[in-house]
Amino acid sequence: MQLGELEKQVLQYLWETEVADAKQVYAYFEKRRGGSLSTIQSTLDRLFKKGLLKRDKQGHAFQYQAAIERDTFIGQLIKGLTSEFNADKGNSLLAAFTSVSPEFNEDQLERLEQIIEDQRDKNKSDGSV
Amino acid sequence: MILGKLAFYLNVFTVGVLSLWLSLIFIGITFRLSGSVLSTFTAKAKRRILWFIVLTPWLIAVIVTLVLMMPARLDSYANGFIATLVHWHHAYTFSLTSWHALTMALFSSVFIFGVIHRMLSVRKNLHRLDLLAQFSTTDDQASEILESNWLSTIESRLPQAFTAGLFQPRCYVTTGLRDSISTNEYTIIQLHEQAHRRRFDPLKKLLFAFFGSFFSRVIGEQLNVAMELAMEQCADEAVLNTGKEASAIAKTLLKVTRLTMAYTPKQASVQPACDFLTPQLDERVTYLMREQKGRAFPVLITSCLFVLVTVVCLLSVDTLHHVTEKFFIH
Repeated sequence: MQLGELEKQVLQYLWETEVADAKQVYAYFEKRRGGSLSTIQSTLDRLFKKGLLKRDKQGHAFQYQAAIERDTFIGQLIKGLTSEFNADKGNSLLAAFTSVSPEFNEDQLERLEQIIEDQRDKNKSDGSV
Repeated sequence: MILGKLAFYLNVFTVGVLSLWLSLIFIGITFRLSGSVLSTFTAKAKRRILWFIVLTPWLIAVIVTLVLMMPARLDSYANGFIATLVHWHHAYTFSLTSWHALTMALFSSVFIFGVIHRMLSVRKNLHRLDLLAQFSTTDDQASEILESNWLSTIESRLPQAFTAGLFQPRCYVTTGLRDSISTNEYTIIQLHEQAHRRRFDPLKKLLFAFFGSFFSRVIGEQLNVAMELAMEQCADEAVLNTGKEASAIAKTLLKVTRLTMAYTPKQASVQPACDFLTPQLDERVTYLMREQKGRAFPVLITSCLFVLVTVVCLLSVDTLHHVTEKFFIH
């Protein structure tokens, strides 16, 4: 999915405003970047068709709101990049700093922390001798 | 029935495919039996061994094909020593209804399917990355550590840091992670990701996975996991070489893992990152804290293995050819 600059800005606006109709979105962008109402309407329509917005008809106008929260959207993109690796190890185009298995637990982390401390103490005592 | 030069090239292809499959089997079995020894090597040596494992079958296939088919091309060698040992009879005859054609068709199908499948997957992945890049901003504060501002910040509570992209890899850190760690930890993460970026690890991972996919699924996955670990250990080591303390790097690893674990799916409808097997973190921490990092690349052993598998493949292709044609019609 590719997003145009205006689409990105509109999505950003709706993440902050939560609900707005085309006129409200136009009023906001008219001051900042100009453009026409029909451009905003078609942008909203495109975002709706891409599944990023949902809309509700109230009277003659559609009320738009983000179909997905910003954090969830970004999270899903990152998850998509990493889960590709889950399904078929090797298709991932990224190298993550660290990631965890669902089975990983606090006890295991504490055990690793103990290993670090022990080794650090050992190094200190070796250095002081 | 195809005769002449075209038949020769088709036979070359068939011999190549047979040699490749046989060497994949022999190398695959060797890896399966001795894969655990990998942890006794340094991260750099591990990377080299893994590349050796995935590339050797292709090189052996080329050598075996040359040895088997050369006598047919060079008449002076036709009755030579090599030709008396191994040779491909009917080098200038190729039947489209023979088992050779079947072998060739099978390999071509697997190869083409593999390439298309991987390309589609890469394309999907690149689209996601492209979209993610649109919601990220360049982190100017990082310019001192990462040359040419290769670090992007993604505004998200999800704690993540990764390097992505094939030919122009970039490092990404989410604000969720950046705001939860100290300056020193942030520097460690940036240096780690920079090491991935400098080595073009995402591209190398992809190429490695492609060559690894010709092994059986189980071995292919084991190879990828081993390479993933080796790459992470190399990046950790690169941070270590900048003068950072091993314990500080290891602790940062644990902290980021804790942050990822704390970020439950309920909060953002996302699973915590990729299914990085539990032993990976274990091995990274213990490797970092170890004073003796391990053995260097075993030149002698790999050379012997290379010669041995080449000879076994050479004899096996010839034997397989004769045995098959003894029992079945060509």
